[in-house]
Amino acid sequence: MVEEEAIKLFKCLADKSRMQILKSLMMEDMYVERLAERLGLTPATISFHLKKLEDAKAVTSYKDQYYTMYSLQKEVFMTRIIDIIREESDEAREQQRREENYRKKVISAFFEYGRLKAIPAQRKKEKICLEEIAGSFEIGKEYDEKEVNSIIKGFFDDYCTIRRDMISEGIMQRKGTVYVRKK
Amino acid sequence: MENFVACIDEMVKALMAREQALVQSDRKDEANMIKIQINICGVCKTIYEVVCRTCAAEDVKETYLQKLDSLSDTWTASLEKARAHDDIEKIVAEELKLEALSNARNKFLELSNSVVNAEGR
Repeated sequence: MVEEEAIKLFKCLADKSRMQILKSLMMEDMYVERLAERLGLTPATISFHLKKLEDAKAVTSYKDQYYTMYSLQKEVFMTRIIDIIREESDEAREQQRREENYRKKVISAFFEYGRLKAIPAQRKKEKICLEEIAGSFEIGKEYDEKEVNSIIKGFFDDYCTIRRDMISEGIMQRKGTVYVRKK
Repeated sequence: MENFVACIDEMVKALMAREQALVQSDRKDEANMIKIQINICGVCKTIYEVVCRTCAAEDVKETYLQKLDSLSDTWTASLEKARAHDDIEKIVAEELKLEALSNARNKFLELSNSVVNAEGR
């Protein structure tokens, strides 16, 4: 289910009468007049709600002699909400693009000729700078403290602060006397 | 016929209470349907006030009913068109408008007839 469809469905479900219609259709397929009688609403109102439910793909209709019968689209309700959230959308890609642009902006403001000019006061900006420095470490490879200090020194003189902040931000991990860059 | 304006105000009050109750029970779309009827009551009241201001007293009833019937014709045509296109949302809206108009019309006739009867006695 794409994000747009999910939003339409959730909006559609946020209505008590439509929930009552769905509950009735859980029991069996029904036609407009029967639903109207059961729920104490006019047939026109029921048709209105069914149209919305049909548009949201929550119900489907079919002809049975003189009646148009409505049934629940059970597979739609089997979809897990976590799967809908996980689905990558245009908005997610756009967010990613914006984040990447912001990252580039921070790096160009705080780095000069490959060296860090100053440690940013803002935590978010500092993390970006630390991640940039961490790019010089291989993921999973073990480094002793001397190697770590030497690499960091290539970027900034105060290697102790950078090393400590990399650990506290979860970018690097300390295992006894060795350091490992996390994924 | 101040009574008629008061009656319309009462109808609006009752509809607003229904609308609120529907909102409270998470039936927003049905509450919006009631809003349509509240608007129509407002239209009926405004037309009546204009007719009262612009027409001679003896012409008010006929002129007012003519105006309501003209609206009814327009909305009936719109309802038929919606039915032909199976446009459910429009069908519901037009039916609600016609129902509210019909209620106002009936109330007006009821009150004007009672005035005539009272004068006849």
